[in-house]
Amino acid sequence: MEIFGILWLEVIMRPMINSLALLYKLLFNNFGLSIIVFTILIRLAMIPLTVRQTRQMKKMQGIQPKLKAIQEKYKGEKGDARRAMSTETMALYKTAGVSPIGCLGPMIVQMPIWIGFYRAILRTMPSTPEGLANLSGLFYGWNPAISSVPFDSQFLGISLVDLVSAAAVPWNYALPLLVGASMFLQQKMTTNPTSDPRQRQTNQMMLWMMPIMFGAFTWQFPAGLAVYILFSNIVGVVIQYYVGGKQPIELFGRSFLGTETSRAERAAQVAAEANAPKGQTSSPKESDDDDKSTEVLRKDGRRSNRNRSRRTARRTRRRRH
Amino acid sequence: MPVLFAIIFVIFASAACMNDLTPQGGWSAPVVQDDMLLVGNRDGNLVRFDPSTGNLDLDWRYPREDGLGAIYGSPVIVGDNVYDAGYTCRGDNCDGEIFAVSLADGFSIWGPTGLELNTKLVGQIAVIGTTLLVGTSALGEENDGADGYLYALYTAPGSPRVKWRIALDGNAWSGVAVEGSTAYVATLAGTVYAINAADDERFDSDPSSRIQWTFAADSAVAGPIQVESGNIFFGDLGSNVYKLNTTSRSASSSDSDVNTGNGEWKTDVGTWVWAKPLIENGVVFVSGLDGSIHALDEITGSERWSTSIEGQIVSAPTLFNRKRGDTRERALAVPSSEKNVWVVSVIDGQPLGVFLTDEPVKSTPLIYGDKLYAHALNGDLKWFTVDDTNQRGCVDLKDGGLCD
Repeated sequence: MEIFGILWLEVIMRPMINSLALLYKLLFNNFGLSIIVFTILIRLAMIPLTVRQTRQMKKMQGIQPKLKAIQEKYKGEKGDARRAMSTETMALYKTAGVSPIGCLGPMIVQMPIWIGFYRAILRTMPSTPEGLANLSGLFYGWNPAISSVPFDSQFLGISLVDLVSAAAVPWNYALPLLVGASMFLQQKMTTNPTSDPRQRQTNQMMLWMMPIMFGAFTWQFPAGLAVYILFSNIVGVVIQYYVGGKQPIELFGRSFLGTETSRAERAAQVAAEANAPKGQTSSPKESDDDDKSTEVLRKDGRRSNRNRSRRTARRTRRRRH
Repeated sequence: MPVLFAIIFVIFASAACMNDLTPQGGWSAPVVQDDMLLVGNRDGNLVRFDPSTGNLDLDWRYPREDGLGAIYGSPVIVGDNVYDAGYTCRGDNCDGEIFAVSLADGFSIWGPTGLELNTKLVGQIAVIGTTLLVGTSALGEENDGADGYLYALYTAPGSPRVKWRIALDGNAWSGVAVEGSTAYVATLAGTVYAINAADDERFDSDPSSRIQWTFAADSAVAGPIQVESGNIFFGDLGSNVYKLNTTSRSASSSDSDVNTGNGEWKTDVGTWVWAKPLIENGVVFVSGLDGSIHALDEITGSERWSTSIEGQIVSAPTLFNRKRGDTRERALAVPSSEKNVWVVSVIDGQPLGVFLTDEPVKSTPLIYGDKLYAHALNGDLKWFTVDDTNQRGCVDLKDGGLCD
């Protein structure tokens, strides 16, 4: 376990703390600006992961009807049938170019970065004697910001080390609302439309629950952490907008932003969804993929059935012997 | 998955907030009064311990119920009363209290509570005559106020009364050191103040006129100031150690230059200095947050030797006579934030032994009689025989229970 502690400190914490401190020195001794610029840099550095995650999620979304069909096909079956279902599912993933953990991978990689970043914020602006004393061992010797410790924690009239609830009006109310709103927007942009009622219900719950939960928790977070989450969301929305192909953002029944093409595509998709039988919604492009995948499924299904027949025959022969 | 991510994030964030925003305390060193030890425990209670029986006096404690959060400074005894300060915070949202307690029964002599201030009370308090001096951080209720203050209070019983206060340019975590009627206090902004704390009507109209001179250090000064025969010694978070001649300084000398002609010096020890420097026989012992100990020449500031232990040193070591064969030698008992109290030779810094606390120690050890008392960071008070360094007892300063 000690090795993980050392790795965490040397690979995540110290580089982040020193970067924040260096930015503080470069950005006119302003820690708020330091947090914002560093958040932007971190999110930019993670664009490849975000792109990969978005693509994987889109692909996963695209094969949902086929996955559901497979599940329906083997509903109530056990033993060999379950194994056949797994084989078919994996074949579907392979054909569609989806890694089952592809969506989770980038998120898992990002987690230590998020957690490390907010820990770095708190540790760079210690509010206790212990925190200040511990900071001494976290700086690189060459960092010119060392002589500026302790850093000025004031930003736009709020103390970044103070809890949001203790900040002056209107920041104590504005920060949780802004965090919640920005998270809602980001969530809205990353949620793909679906015709599956259960999935749609889950998406709706997520869409509202996450922002409300984070907004509420922000009330008890240090203001610096709230600033970080807020700008992380804002930059995330911008990145998502471009990575997602400048899709229009739909809010309260109206479309915002997007290109003419993307708006037209979206309108066509909505129309197709409205006309298509329940559970059969997919875009024309996806229909082509559907055909290929269905063909693979059929083949896999045949292969699976043939294998099942062979196994049954082998068992019968063994019994005769 | 996003829900799981959010939950993990919130758990980590909440845990971090608790640890990073709340002071932990455990830096208060025990002091002796009438054969009893007084110490601020980790919960922010001032408690009394009887070394002759090895028991905590459960009838004597302040506050009687829940503690103040954390007590960093050692108690100061004046006459029949004892004074100290404690606080707790979440971020900069703090509740602090400066209190005065009767030595006889442990009850407040300032009414139900002491002077309550919404601020951090980190440094050592001091007394000049009938004036109690306390350095503070910014006051929560005064958003447009200064970043720190030096408070002067009446020590007398009754309700707590403020004599005067002076605004400072930063959090005064260094505490207050006194010599004669002058108080020295330093801030995290790096300014050292020499302040006339005498009872004098000339200062009544403008308390800031009490400031005799200021000195701008290269970096933040977080640790205590040592006063010794017209000189002050202190370290900063820029790795510097300073010796200033207080008699030759005046209001006009408020700059960062040390005047070597007046015996002043500044030495780079390569690490942040928080612990109070110790001085004996022409040697200044400076402890760093990287665990290093430096012996500097008191006249020139040049280094004679240096050594290091594991862990940070946030509080001053204690000088004591160590047994060596049939004779005794001077040694330093150095508290380590990693664990244990290490014994180091004052001659050359060689390690001589260890008092095994097996717990971090962030307070200055106390030598009393033939025992060394160490207030460990887990809240235990452990004592050892000085001569053989063997542990002789342990008591939990919270409830008086015996410990290992």
